[in-house]
Amino acid sequence: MSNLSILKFAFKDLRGGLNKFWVFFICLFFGVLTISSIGTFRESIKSGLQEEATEILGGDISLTLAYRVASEKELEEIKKISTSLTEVISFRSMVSTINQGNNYYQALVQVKSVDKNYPLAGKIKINPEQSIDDALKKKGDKYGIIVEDSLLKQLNLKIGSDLILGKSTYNIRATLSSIPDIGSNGFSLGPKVILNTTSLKNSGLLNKGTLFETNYYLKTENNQDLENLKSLFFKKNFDKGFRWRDIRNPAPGIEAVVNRLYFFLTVLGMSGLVIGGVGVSTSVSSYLNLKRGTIATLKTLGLTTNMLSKIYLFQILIMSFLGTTMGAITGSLILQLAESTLIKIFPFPLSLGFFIQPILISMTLGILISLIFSLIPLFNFCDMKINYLYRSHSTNSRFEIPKLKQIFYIVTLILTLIIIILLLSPDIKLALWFIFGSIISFIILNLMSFIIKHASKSLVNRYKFHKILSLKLALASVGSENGENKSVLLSIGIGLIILATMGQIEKNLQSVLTNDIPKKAPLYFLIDIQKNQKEDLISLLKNEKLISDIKTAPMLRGFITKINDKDVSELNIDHWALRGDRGITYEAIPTTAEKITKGKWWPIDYDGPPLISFAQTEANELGLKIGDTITVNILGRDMTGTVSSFRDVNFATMGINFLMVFNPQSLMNAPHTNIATVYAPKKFETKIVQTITQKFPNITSVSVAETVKKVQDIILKSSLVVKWCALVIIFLGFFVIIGALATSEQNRMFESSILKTLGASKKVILLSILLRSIIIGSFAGLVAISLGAVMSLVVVKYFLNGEFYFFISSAILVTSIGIMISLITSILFAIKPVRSKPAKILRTVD
Amino acid sequence: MKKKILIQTDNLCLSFPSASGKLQILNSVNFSLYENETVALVGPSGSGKSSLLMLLGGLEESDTGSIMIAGQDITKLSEDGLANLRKKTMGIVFQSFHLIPTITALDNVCIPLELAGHSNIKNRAIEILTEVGLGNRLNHFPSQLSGGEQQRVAIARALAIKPLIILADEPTGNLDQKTGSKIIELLFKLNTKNKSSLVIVTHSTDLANKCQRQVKLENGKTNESKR
Repeated sequence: MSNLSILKFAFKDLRGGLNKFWVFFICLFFGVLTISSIGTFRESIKSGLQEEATEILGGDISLTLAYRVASEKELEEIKKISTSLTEVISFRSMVSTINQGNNYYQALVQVKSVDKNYPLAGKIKINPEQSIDDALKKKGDKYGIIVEDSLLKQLNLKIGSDLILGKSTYNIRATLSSIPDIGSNGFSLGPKVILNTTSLKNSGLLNKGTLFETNYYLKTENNQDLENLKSLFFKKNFDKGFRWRDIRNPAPGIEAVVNRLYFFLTVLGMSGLVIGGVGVSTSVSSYLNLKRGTIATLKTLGLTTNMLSKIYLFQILIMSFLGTTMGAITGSLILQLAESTLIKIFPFPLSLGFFIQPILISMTLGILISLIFSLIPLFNFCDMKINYLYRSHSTNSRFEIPKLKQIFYIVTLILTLIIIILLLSPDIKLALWFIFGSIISFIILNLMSFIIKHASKSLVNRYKFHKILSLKLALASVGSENGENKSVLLSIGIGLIILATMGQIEKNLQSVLTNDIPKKAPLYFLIDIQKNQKEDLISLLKNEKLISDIKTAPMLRGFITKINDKDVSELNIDHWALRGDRGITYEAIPTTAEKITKGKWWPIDYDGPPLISFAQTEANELGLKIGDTITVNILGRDMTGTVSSFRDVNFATMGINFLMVFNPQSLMNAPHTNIATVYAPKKFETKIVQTITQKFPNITSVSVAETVKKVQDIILKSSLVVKWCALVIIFLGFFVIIGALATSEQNRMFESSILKTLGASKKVILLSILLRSIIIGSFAGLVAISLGAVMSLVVVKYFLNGEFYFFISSAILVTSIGIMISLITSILFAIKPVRSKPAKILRTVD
Repeated sequence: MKKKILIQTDNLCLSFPSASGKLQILNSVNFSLYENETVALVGPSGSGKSSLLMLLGGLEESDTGSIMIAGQDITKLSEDGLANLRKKTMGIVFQSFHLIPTITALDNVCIPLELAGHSNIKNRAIEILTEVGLGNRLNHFPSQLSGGEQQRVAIARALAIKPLIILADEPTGNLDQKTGSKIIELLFKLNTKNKSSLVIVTHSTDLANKCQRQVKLENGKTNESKR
């Protein structure tokens, strides 16, 4: 038989069993749709970021300096590579309302101080409409300020009200609707306010050592070679602490978040597709079971296993191609429909369109999954002996051990899938964890289905169950070879595992944030305390009897540029300690909370080359050893120190904790401020801020409770995204179960007909079907809880370094979802068997 | 002494819809079954033998007519009412055995005993399975038994509750002649022992001749003959 004849026959033969492919089609369609829409979403953001690169960046190039502005000489260098520029200074500060008896309010704000050229690219939208110059210029004795609407609500103010910032009073002229240069906005703790840099001169803010950041946004001539400009600039300014960004990658922060989100969601989508694979496998088995007579006849006519495999593989490929193509295209189109909603939810520029890459990726993943899950039943049926094919009418097949060549095909496909996942991942380690977790989950779920089957079989033979007929029948069904427990366990199990893991992690984090941290964390962080203010501040708070304790430390900020003289960008280490600037302090002796774990602390009067004590856990993660050198850029100057000791640092206490501590002599003469943590009863919260702001307007108070609330909000939102994905996966699992139940519906109808002839009532039959689904659903839930508990324990204990607690409420929820899904699908497929007329069913079998 | 009537049908009609219109299967059938009696339902294929048996077992709904069993018209009973009647008074044996594939031979026999609320279920099931010659196959699943063995389990299951009425639909249809003869011998032996009444659908003249009475079905009507 030629290949053409095989194809012709495959086409003709497919017509007779298309209805058996509906679950196959749905599983692939929805699985691919999810991955395609996630990919299209990422491409839309990437394209949006590129289209609006100049607006997002604030210019063609952005140069950032920490805690200083550029010197005259540096400005000259900057001007050499630009046609125009604007200077934007960002820092946190406290604003307060004018003192009017008891109505005196303070708030933490994110200040953006701009010059007359701002914005250089894009538009700032304010309400009421006016020019920025007009809104910020001095009118009478007050400069103008633009604030976010939320600040007006928070401080009970309106446009025209006055606001105190540092030692200056500003007049609120407008509210802020939107600003360009969003690529520079990091984690913000308060509402934004915009003011003119000239107005800061007499405010008492921006003293030496104050924590602020300066951005220079530059416009260049058209078609400039940005890489060339960059090397030209850094040739003269390589050690000044400038950070360079340009329109080629305007918002690396956003892109990194989007890439991680994309991978994370794709991973969840892949889990959905794997569950869809279970449905694909069930459908192919069901289809081939329908064709067993044809397969047997073709075999008797002389067709080889290879030829038969080709016929049915071709049919599977046609259906896979149809399902994946439709899913991929719909996934792409569905985002266009949801454009207005997406723009509201995500604060990124979106440029929705038809992107070929996510369509091709999702189709490839879909076809691979379809083949991996189809080949086992396909080879099984094609290898089956003719007499078994003719004789048995069971919906399930006898399992034939695959041949070595067949195992090779399946393993090759699995490896291809793994390689694609690794290529898609921004983080190989994360991808390997996902692959490992998926394989383990799959093995455990399979193992559990085996255990449940045998446990049920064994239980059913125990005498005590003989009196509860429905339970006995339910157990017998769960324990049978033809039972659908494996499909159900796999299809809802994976979704439930994700839900259980996320549930436990979220509850643990929430517990730390709402119970543990408030117990030991300070009430406030105070920043920008000038050296000469420290003692006065402590005395003031102690005299007023507002606080139980106050701890202070010198505070500088700098970023690690080199480790052992090697630039960190060349080290290829992705660690938070190397991303952006970090707090640094100096200490003569370690604090009581710090324990030296390795090496030696410097002598109290040490005056040699700089020495560093590094946090132990982070040092391990970075692979640091005692004696290594670290170069830190502080205020534009590189300082190299030698690691002399490691310390145990618990950042979770939210007290004063530093990644790096230097010996005093190396840093004490550098311009810096102090940081303080204030421990006090919550009832003095407002009074403390009022007291500090009135006496020391330059000191910023950051409420720990507010920060925790922000973090909680982020956790809740992230957890919600994952939970939605888990629900989509469970939804897909729902279809797979429906497919599995539809396949075995004939068995249930037959069984219930026999039971009816023996005198069983509808109640007994219905109860046995429901009990069966409760047993399987409960086990799916229990397996999910157990695996979820182990996975969340690993995450909480080893990745987040926290104490793990098991939360029963989350576990109950997961089990209930498992039982509910199993019950709902079971009820849907219980109606026919309960209502069926035995004579009709039994006659068809006869 | 006049024998007690167990089943009495009156003008029983049954039809099925078909592509070419209504297909009349039974047309005003009157049939009676007495206690301790054996009746063979004979006739050509498609004459309605199995349909009549299904009606007698309450497994099929008639168009018109009545079926009186133990003093009540079963055509008026609900599905659960019919199930209740079957579990107390009937045992049914099918041509294709119809055992529940997911449970063992012993469990298959236990089910009617449990439904009927018997005590000492397991002992009774073992007893009857031993009687049909399967004492050593108690914990085998149907798929592990031969056709003849499966039919023995089906007979044991039907007779376990010692029913008043046994309905058998071509019980040897799927078996070879030798095994079939053994099965029939067993069925009649146990029927006599239990003092049940037996209605058996068959194409076999030999088997029909073993029965006390033969009822021939032709064109949906009964034509009764006594031996």
